[in-house]
Amino acid sequence: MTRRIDELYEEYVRAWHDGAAPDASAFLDRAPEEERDELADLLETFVLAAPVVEPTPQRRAELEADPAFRRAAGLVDAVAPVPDVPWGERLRAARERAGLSLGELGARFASSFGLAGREHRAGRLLQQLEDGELPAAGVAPRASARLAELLGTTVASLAPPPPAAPAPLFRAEPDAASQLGDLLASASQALGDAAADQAGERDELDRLLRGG
Amino acid sequence: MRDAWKRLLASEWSAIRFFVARQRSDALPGGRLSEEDRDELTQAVVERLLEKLHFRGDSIGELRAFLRTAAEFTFKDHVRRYVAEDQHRAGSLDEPADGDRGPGTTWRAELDAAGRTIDALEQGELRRIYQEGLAAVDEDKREVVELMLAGWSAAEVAERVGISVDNVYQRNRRGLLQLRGFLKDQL
Repeated sequence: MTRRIDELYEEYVRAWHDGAAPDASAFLDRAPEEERDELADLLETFVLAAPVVEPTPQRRAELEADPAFRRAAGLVDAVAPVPDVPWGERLRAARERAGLSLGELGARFASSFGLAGREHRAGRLLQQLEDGELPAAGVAPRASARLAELLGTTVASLAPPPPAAPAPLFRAEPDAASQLGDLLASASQALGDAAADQAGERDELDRLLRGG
Repeated sequence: MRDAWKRLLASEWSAIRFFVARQRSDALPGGRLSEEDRDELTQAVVERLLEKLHFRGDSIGELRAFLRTAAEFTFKDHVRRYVAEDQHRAGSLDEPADGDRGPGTTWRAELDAAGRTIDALEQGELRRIYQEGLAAVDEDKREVVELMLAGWSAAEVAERVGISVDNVYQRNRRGLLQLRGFLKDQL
């Protein structure tokens, strides 16, 4: 029995605790070939329960320069939700990545909820959501989860934002005119909704996509 | 959230790289992955992790168990592809391994099953298993293993326990293998 892998184990564990984010391949390569598997077993027992240690600033800088790490970080950029991008734009980007038209997505969405005959309207509502004409906060969680499934993306990346508290409207604000326009549009929308209600047109789609 | 994931990626980078680097198969030349293939498999494991953004486990042990499983299944797919391509290169008339199943077909089912197992673990369950595992390690080795896991040097452990450095290494290795055997049965 050689002491070599014991020393490598010790060195790896200490490097881990020091935030040096040790490279396992280099350690395994340094072990005698006939003992490499045993070292891997020892290290795995440690790694499975090892504490989370953030890399030191120096090691973090090295990681940032490592092409493999940069590629992986790029995957995070591609998949993880970006809070400052409006929900509608995230939906549009996910739909375009999936290669679906609004009509196709609307049809699949309506069909997945058993809403036969509502495919076209679903497509229109989704378009309004993409264009920011409908508030994303009205999208039910089960609807966003279904959209994520249909678009092959993660549930978290399409999680709708929580409803925002209404901002006070002051006449002196420079964009008061546009806010007023939004308000009028909302009022008009509400009137339309009321008319739809009266006509019995509000349905499951409204509950799914408009918080109705 | 994106920054939080990048921080997690940085802090878990060593673990991900380890789980990939440790894979071996006699079907591969030299038994191990090339550096280029290690990089490719690392990306695949990160993709699997990001697909599990709704991962319900909430202890780091569960995350590591997931990463290990992802690395193992991604590696299995890699070997399967390599063997199929090798047979093709050799002009074999045999069906390639796994017939016409495309790459990545099997790991999805296997990983989904593993994911359910991980999801089924209650919070702290893995930690409890580790505590039980350490308790199962022979008493004369347990303290050595625990201190070494905590990052003590062999010299520091030797001084505290009152044994030689060689003896520390010996007890640590044997204790770790006992712990590993216990964990293998549990995970």
